[in-house]
Amino acid sequence: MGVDLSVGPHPVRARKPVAVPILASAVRAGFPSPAEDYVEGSLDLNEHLIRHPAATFIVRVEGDSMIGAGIFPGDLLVVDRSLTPHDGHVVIAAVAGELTVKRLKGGPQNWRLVAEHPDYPTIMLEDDGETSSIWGVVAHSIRRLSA
Amino acid sequence: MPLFALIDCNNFFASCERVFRPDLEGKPIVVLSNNDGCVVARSNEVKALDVEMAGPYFKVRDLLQRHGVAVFSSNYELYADLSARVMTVVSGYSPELEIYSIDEAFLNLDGFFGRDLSAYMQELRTQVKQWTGLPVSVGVASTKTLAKLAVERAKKEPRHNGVLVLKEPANIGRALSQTPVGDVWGIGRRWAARFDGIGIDTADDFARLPEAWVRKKMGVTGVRTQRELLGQSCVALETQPKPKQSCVASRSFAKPVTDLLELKDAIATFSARATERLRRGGLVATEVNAFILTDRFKTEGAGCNGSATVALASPSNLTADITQAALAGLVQAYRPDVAYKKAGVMLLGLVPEGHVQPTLFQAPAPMLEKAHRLQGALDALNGAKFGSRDVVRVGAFGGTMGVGKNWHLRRDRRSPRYTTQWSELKTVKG
Repeated sequence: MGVDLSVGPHPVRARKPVAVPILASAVRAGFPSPAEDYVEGSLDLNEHLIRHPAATFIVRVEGDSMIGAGIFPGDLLVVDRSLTPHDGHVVIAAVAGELTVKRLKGGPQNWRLVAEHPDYPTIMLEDDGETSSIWGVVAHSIRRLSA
Repeated sequence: MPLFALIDCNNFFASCERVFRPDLEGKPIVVLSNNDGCVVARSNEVKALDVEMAGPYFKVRDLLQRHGVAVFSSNYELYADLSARVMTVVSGYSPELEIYSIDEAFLNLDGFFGRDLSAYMQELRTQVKQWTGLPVSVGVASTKTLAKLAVERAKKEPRHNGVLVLKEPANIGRALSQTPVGDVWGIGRRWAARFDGIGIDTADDFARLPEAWVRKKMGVTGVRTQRELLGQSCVALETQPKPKQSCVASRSFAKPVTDLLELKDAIATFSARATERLRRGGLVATEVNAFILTDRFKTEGAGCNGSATVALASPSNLTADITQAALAGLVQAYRPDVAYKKAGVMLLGLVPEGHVQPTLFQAPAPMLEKAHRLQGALDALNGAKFGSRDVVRVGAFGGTMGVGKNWHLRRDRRSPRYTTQWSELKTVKG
């Protein structure tokens, strides 16, 4: 197509490894640190949050229908599309052409999307089995607590 | 016996636009090329409209609007990210993978001959769709050319459900006789036009030609294509990317540019970009070509394309060297009062960094070392390895970057870069 794009097998990735040192000690001159032999690298949040990078997408929440589940406006959701949806999962689903986050209830024949807020009605999913309207399973939510 | 699978994303760019837009499911979509110039991708719904899509966008704009077609500028960031995801999933199905293009990959299935290949590839198709949201089709056969032919049939005939395995001679024969000769990989429209009227209409007709005739008319590549159609594998899987022979950075301008200063700005930026890639590949260039092109759809100024190649005193991958040469080339190629539509820098004669003979003109070692250290620091600052851009550029006209931003790419209808920019994430309704 005349487009030069370099393609590599490394989806969802941090621009730089986010390094949180496990052992951050200023070594004093003269005495070697007794912990030196135990340094083993750093914690990578990607490793914790993203089990299937090729299937993982991050989206942002708008609206308050899930505050009962601890999901607030502005939160980030880590969505893992490789997970098979089950009763009780928090999922992203396509409803009337829009992506929405709700609690999944029931089974493949009669999935329901339930809000965690009294003001929002339950939505019945019309799945024909072939093209599912469940977009992905939410694996984590991330909220900023202070600037 | 070798066995190849070709995995091909259906209408890749258009399908990418749908992943975060469920409202576009089943709706007609087109994607435009750089600067919204031409239609480069169409969804099936647009193909079904049966309108002539070749040529520039402005000629079909009204037609698209009348049919309610959703029009997008190319979102290369999104396409590249989704492509990498597809390739990752696909690579789980065989130890040997060749990424053939942004939306196609070959798998070596040699060791899978006894298996139900159709079921195995259906599994792949389902997984790619679930993980990435993208539909793919698969063709399996004993040669790459036949696998390509199989995937095209799989896309055209819904009864295959996206996977066609061509193994039985009868099935291969049927597929060959149903495929127009121009659709065969490696033959193309030019040959199809010459075959027209002499009874060579289908792939089957071509396969039955005497080999000596094919060799005389089309040379060794024609013979290779014919043998591949007959089930004899001539093109192997390329799992290692070929070393690059040249490296290009170029862009079309949003508005025509006549000013030399503005062109210098663009050429300096392209030099920096191309050189960055060169360094990442561990290569050095021996020649630098700068080119400036006029609009091929407009008559005035046509034929004023300029291009000049400057040899480097010694092979280099330093931005300062490359930029200096590219700007010298630009000055040679430039003509005043011509409206240029596109500019670019091509680095030529690429060789691995370690294999360079020192020359008389090369700077003494300590100076060179300093220059490389500076370059390393700049690369780190620019985050070159992670793709961020435009922090510091030696050679780019820092002071004049604001002079005219005309040459920046026009992508008015680009969708958000959902997967690569924190500021452009998809929002979901809570």
